[in-house]
Amino acid sequence: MTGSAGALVANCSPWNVNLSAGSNSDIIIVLDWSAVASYTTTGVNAQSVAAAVVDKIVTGQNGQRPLAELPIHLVGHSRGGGLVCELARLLGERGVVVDHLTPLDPHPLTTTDPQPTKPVIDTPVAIYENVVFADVYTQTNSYPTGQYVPGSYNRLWGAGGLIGGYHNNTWPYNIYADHRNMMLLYQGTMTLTNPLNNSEATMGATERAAWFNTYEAAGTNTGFVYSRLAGGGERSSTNRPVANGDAVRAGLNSASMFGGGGARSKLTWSSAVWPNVAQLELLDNGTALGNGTYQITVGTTQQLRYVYLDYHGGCTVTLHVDTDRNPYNSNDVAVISTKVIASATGSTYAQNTVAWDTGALNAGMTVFVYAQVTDGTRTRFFYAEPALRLVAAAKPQPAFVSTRRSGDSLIFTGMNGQPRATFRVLESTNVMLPMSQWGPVLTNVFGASGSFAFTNHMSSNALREFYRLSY
Amino acid sequence: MLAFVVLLGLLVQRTTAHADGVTVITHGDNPSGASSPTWMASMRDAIATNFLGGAQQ
Repeated sequence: MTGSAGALVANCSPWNVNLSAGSNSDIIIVLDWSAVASYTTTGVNAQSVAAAVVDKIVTGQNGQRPLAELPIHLVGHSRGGGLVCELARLLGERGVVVDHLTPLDPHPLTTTDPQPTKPVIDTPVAIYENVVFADVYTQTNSYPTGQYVPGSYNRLWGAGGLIGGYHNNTWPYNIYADHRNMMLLYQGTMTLTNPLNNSEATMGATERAAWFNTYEAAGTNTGFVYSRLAGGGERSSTNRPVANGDAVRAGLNSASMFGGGGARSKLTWSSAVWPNVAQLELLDNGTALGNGTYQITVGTTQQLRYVYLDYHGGCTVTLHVDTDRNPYNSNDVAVISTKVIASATGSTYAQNTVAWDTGALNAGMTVFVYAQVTDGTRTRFFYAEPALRLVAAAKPQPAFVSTRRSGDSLIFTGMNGQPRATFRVLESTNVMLPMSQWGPVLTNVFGASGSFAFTNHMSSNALREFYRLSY
Repeated sequence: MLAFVVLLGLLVQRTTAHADGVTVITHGDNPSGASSPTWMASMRDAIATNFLGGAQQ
């Protein structure tokens, strides 16, 4: 980001994304507005930066597809926490649903902040109705403090909670240490090994032990775990990681189909043209399968549920089967369903459930399911979390069904043989003998339906006889 | 036929969950007005290393 107040310029550089190659469609953007981010000299507020950036997300850059076609996770520290909230709001104005919003110690500039030269007022932090999940990691120990954000899962650190990290630096690199420890802490939920150095400060075992509680399990069960990249975590969990603190589900949109408790600020959908699939789940007895690889049997019927929103008009939702998690590289293997949704949803999320017959797929494959939603001009994609390993249905084994005595003979019937295949019946008075020592009784073929029947004369000398089918 | 789903492993590597999305990382105030905060590149690399198998184009 370059320029000046009223004349900001956003550039995408370097733009080295080639989504048609590779097996996944993951993109990480570092939004660097440092050249204009000094409130003492530039007079640039965070919302004007967001306004300059939003068109770079909804419009294709350098000949590539728009970033807004994919789920979006926004992470911002300090004033950047307010900036990403504003970016989410501006995306919402265009109709784009934001999957995940993470302000880190959010601290937009307000009238109470010391501003010795140019007064800069940032937009207040808020979570709008186009945000699916919001989580805030913040501290109240020292200036500049973050803030509690309604509609989010808020994890708060109080006095003395953030020892080490930036505190261990020497002046002037240890100023605002608590505030800056929040971004180090969040990175500590991505990198789980010690020590972690983010090029400015170090997080080691001491910090990890002090900063995370038992529920958070040294950083493995908080922070980035709620991102789609990490599998989404338990966003709807009613657990309160901190006693008397927020439940995790406080950050999940309170629209009924998300199952969350996060109230949302009303959005002005002034230019809302983008269609969305905001969630896609594979259901097992009504429960969504999470991150991981699951085995399904070819020929079974699976249940899929998706949540969509298209504020301004109709759209078409198509569910695809893909061999990886990239919708751009042309290796889909099947279309599950296509549904034309004629009516606009307005700001209300809606859902559909689809029955997926897996009979046309081949065993041995690992596949992924994704939703494509389009209004003919704009398209978005959303993958369900689980990977699915397809296995063949187990072949039924031939089995005896009935045995009946008729005079001095036994009549056997059975089923599940391979139609027209040959089978042999073996006999022994000692079930423990190896099969090579069992005597032959007869050879025959299974019927057209796999059934079989045979009659055998009972030996007058045997106390018991055992029969075995070989095929 | 009823749905039949089996979880293959109780422990799933977090790195297996490529999740097809865009992550935007940004900073706050920059009093120096000069160099870019380097922690953002570190966080970017942490995501790539731990969740994308180190893949970067």
